[in-house]
Amino acid sequence: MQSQDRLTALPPLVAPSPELAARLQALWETAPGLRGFFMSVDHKEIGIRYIVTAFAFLILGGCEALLMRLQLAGPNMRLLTPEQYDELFTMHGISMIFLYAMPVLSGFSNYLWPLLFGARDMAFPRVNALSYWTFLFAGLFIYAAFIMGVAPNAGWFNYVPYTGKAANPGINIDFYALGMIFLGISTTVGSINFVVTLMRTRAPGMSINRMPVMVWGTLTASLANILVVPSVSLAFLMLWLDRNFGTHFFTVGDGGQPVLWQHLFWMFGHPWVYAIVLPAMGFVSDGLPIFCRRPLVGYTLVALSTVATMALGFGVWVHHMFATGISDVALSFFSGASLVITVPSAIAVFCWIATIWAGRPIATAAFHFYAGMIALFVIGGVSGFMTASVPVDWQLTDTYFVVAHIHYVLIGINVFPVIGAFYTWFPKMSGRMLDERLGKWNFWLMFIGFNLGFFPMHISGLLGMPRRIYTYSPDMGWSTLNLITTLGSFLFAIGVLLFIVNVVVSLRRGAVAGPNPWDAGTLEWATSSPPPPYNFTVIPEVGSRHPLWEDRLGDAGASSVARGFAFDEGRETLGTSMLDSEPDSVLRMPGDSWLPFLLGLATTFVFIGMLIHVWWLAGMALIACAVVLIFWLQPDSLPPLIPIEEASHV
Amino acid sequence: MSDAVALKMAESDPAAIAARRKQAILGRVSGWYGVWFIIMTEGSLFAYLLFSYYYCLAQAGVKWPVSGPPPLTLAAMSTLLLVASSAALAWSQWSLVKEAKPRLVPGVGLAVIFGSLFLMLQALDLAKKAPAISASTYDSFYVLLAGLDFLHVAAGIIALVALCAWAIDGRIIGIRTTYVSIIAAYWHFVVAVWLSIFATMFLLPYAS
Amino acid sequence: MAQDETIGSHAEHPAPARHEVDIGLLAFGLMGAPVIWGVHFLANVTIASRACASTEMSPSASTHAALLVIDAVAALVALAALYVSMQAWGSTRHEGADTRASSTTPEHHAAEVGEGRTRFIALGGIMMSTVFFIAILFDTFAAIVVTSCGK
Repeated sequence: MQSQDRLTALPPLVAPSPELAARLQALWETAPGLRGFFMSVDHKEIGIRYIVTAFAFLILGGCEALLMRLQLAGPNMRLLTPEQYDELFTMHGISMIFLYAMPVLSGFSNYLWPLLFGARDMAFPRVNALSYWTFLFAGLFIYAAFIMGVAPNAGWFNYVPYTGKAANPGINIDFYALGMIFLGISTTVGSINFVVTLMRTRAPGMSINRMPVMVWGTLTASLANILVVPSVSLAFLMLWLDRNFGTHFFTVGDGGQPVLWQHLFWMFGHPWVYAIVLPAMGFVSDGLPIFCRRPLVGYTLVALSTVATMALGFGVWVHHMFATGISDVALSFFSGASLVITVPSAIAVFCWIATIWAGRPIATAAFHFYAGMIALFVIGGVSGFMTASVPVDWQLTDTYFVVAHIHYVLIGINVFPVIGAFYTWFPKMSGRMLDERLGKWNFWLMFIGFNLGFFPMHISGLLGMPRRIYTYSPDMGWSTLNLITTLGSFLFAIGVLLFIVNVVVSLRRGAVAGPNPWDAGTLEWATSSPPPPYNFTVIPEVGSRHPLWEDRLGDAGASSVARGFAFDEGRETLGTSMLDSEPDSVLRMPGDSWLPFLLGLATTFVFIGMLIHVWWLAGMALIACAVVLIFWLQPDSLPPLIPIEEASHV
Repeated sequence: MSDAVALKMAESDPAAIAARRKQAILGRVSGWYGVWFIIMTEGSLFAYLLFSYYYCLAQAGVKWPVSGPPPLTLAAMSTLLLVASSAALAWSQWSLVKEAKPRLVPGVGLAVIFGSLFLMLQALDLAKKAPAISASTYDSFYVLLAGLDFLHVAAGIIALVALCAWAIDGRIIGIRTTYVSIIAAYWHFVVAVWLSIFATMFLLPYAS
Repeated sequence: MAQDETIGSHAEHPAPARHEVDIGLLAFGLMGAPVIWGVHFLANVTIASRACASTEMSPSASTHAALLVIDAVAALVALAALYVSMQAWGSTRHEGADTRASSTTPEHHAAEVGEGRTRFIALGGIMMSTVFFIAILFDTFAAIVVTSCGK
């Protein structure tokens, strides 16, 4: 009978066979053509769409930045009007922070999670599709304002009273307000999907201490999003009411509180900043070991430092508001939390350095990006530590020093690891390798361009150059620094362009990758590249952190990857328990569906109706949402879950 | 999974399912986990909203509302109705696990009736207060709190009506009785939200 | 097929010591410090803000004392969580010991410390409690040195 130290009841292990693969293919394949495009719930398809869409927004946001840099290249330039400049810097921030940084990470996580877990799909495949469609529609909604020449124009953190009706009567801010509530739906449902996927669909034996580190990153980010996205959605709803119905939440002088906006925005905003870097830090934690040829040093410390960073991240929002007149005693607590948050970050940095130190690094393009990230993270971390001090912040607030800091942390800890992740996992997604020589050119252009462009911003900030100004006079002494910054930013842009060229060329002519081109140790490398629609012919059983490296780590045979569970009698995956991943049920998964697209579309019309005050449209669309949801949630003819003992007797 | 086994599972009785779940050999359907995170995020929404209210109240430096505490009768009746609907739903949940012949439809039906009455009273109140939304910060908060709560209760009613229809149709059997727990979790949460709003907007002005 | 064969048990359970340490204690060790830090942080900020909301130039002595008492209580809870985690870590040394003994490469040691989910949470608890104890110390320090409302 079962021993205490064994996992519970399971059906027999089988070896993959062509017949089994054919059966699974028939079960899991997405419908072909345009129909499949709208109906697909395959996490790999959705992940790639997320990545491509987010990259499109990155390119748009990048072009906006380049226009601004041209305007700032010399003093008293007249390339842009102040109004155009306002719209550009606002759209640049929105594009990068909301439409690129988070979605690109969601894309990678969507693509990789079920593969890392040895599962067939996410816990809620249709919610996954919904989260993509709402992201796309919300992004287009906000960009519609840009195309119509009424883009949001008060900065991405959208402070009142600049954004109140009195100061900003156009429709610009309404687009942003409703767009952000819309985008919040996408982020929230996506985050819930990630957390439940983690709780339910890991391979048997993949206890929480055997999960890849990037899973920890996305998990903490998702939990944070679930808790803080409502804050910004509420703030934007209240602002929209202020602007359209004359309410007095943020108005000045009649009981409204402009500073409340800042509280609500940054209670969301600061955790969000961590949410858009922690999964990327996870890419580094999982990518470095591949290229250092050894497991990560200090897995437990890195995994838990992710959680500690996020937890502390809830208590630092006021460091964006040191100059708002809050009392010193209260400020000092936020300053203390902001200083101490460097401790878990430093733990991660030291673990990465130790991994390189103790390993045998292979200097691939991906390794360059990960190593570059560590360097930029340290610089960005130190400038963040400086502004955590209240008196220093009073000196530096709203200067280019802060602009330098935010770009070091966001480009350093998001863009660099993301490009590194491309070099690492592109072969898995496409079946082809990215070109390494081009990759190293790509890295050095980006790295040199970035530092040339953004390091001088520290100095211009210290010299007193305020952020968001559209031009400056020649006798301020900032001219040379700004010219260097502009040159650097163009060099950086050429680096990004080279990356895109590499992707386009390699998709056609790259070397064929094979299942495990890097000889890596985690489950996603156990299946073919690109993976079949069902991910794994047999669902593996996991006995260590690196199922594919067990031979060389002296733990041979702990996992069973070559043989596993078939689950081929329907769209099914294994349901396991939260901590120790003990199998308890077989989860039935939905197939192709129109519902996510329809719900996304209906939601779009709700927001269009609200924007243009056509209430019957908003109302009808809301009813359509309810109808779609009832169809979505109605009980299926087959039960959603089958207990594992019954499955094992079949 | 063969259809025969699936059917056997679908027909097995809820009490047995509950017993096996206690032994941790039976997991929950994914939706059951999902609803807790929906509650977490919606709960955060109302927490931020109440924080905003208290923040503005503290900064205002005067008692809200300026014209004296609001009348209690209608709000208290609403509260009773909502608590009653929560209790009715809890009763049908209890009967699912404990009784041989579960009384699902009557319990859910009662919850729908009480909930709809609450919604009607709230609609009357909102219709009266909504025009004054721009009168003061207090009025803005009042309409926003009551309005958001109204929307959440309305969503809950739609879910309960759907559940009731599915139950009459005989589709809520076996493992699908989890649907009751899922929708009930949301409904009890909505009731708790209303109680916190009631305490903030109606009881607190009397207490201070 | 006989039941003993089909009810397969292929892999080692990831937490052999799971019955030795109470899951509630492990949870307290892991989350006790961050939770008490959160509570004490909100309490401190609220008290400090209220004390400075009036025309006072600095918080009263009693307010100051309240802040320090809150800090002390929070620090004690964090230390208790640290102690519980260290106990759990110490009492489960055998978890995963066999795989460690059989390992031949030094890398393996570095990789698998904390192997066994029980020990993973215990070590995580030691780290979380330490970090959040430091965070509470920072706040205490702030409460001691910053005595002005800054008006």
